Amino acid sequence: MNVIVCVKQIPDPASPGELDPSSNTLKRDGKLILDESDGYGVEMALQLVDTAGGGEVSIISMAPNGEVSGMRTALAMGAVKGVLVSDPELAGSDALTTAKVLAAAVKKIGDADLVLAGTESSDGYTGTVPEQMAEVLGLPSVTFAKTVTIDGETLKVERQTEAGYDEVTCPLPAVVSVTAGVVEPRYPSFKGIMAAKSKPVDTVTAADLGITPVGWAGARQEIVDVAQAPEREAGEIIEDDGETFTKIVQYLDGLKVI
Amino acid sequence: MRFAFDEDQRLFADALRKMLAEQCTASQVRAVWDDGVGHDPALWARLAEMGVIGMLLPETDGGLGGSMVDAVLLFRELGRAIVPGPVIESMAIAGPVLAGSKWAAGIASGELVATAELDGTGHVPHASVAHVVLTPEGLLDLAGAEIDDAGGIDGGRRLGIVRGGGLVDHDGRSTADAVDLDAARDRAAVATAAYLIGASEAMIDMAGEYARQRHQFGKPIGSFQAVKHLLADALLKVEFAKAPTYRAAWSVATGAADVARDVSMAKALANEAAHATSRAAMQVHGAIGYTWEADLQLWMKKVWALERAYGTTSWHRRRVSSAVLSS
Repeated sequence: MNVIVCVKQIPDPASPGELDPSSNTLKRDGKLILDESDGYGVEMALQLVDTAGGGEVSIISMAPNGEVSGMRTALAMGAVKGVLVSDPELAGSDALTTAKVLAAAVKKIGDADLVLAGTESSDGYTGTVPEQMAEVLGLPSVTFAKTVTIDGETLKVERQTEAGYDEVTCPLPAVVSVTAGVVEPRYPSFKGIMAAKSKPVDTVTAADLGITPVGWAGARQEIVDVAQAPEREAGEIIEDDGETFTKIVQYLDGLKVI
Repeated sequence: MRFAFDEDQRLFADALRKMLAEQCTASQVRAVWDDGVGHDPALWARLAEMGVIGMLLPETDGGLGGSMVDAVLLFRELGRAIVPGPVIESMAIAGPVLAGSKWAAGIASGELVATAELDGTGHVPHASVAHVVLTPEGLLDLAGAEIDDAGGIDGGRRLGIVRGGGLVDHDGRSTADAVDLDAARDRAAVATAAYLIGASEAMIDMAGEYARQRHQFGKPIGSFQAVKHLLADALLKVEFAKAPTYRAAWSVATGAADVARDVSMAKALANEAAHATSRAAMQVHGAIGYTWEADLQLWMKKVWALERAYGTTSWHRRRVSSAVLSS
């Protein structure tokens, strides 16, 4: 079974993120690392291939400046090859363009039984790319997967909901987005890190994949304003006079949780 | 010649640091100290699986065939997280001494935990968690041995007095006759110096974090010059100890003629830096630093134990002196 995992390479969350004032987009000019939420997708893919007893895990990514540091982490974990779409023209791309580019990268690798992605990335996100990519590819889409099992040609997913989970089945191939924390991503071994350096990563542009227009030109959205997130308001302190529970009940009732 | 760590060496250290940040937190170290054993088998298995334990073992033994230059940054990361258990003894002493023997593959895979006691003190570090202990006489198989816990200030490096156990020699020779024990001690001293540097960096981070949070006279105490100077002086000592430690690792790896001088310079400076840092970090913390609940105490005790292991500051200073004056 062959699995393709979409991975995003993001600025290190340990250092504070910065916006480019000219475009109001996140600065991504430094070293990028593998988005933690995509580590789950990579791990799940490796486990599915292990269980199937054959096949391979490939990764695709879209990042500026030919950046592959984050992809190397996924390759060190056990993925065998990757396609990186890196192109200055892609700056300013919206979610749909990103989905089209990633879908084209999936087709470039080809022969995928399953495409996995994180539910959403950690730096800048809409949470819609996996579903849009499925539509572009004409494949079924399952979101918020907390477990994924393969039974012959059928995919079985436990899909996280607010109340619990739904059991979903769908035919393969399919695009599945996985929630964070579903599996424990393995730590790359030193041998894996060394091997990752010689694994092939094919770097292509949007034009190579036949996707135009892209970037600001292809975006159907624009960033008109950026505002500071409001500061958290101080909580309300209630002195206990023996009847406090009624106020707690009123408060919870106001939140519609009881 | 380029004297800098290569990309692999930095990537290995980064990967280890990330793993330890998640799998060897202060509360996990505290739990290992509290249980009275001083070893975390699950963490040991992870270290072995990653390739840390076998870094200095040849590939034919399941190791990575690395040199002390490849390992020195790993020891620094192990020290930053004050990883409990015989990492220095397994990686720097027993592993390389037993390379090619029937024990080596087990050490690399993490299934055989080895420790070492080369000075005949009778107090074996990590005795109760190890399967074998390398002594000057030979390799002591601890199965069936009686071990009296002799405690020690460092809960992640408990000492034990061993009685009995089967001694395995090196084809009819003692360890002291079969291998260069001074070279083994030098590897241990460099490893310990790097470990102390990592532990010191963690203490400076802890004290810096505390100085940003703790307010006095309406300001964070870190804004006061006297507090800043304490930490800056400590950091200076740690930075000054780094280059000699990396140099010592290179001298060990290449068998340089001045290896004794370089190793002793490194250990003496790392000892002093770690000792000064522990005092500065305690001073910045104030009374809370003395409490059992403050994590700082774990790092301080680790440093106090290790600055006496594999040569005290004065012993190494004398060795530097005789190496320099005799040349």
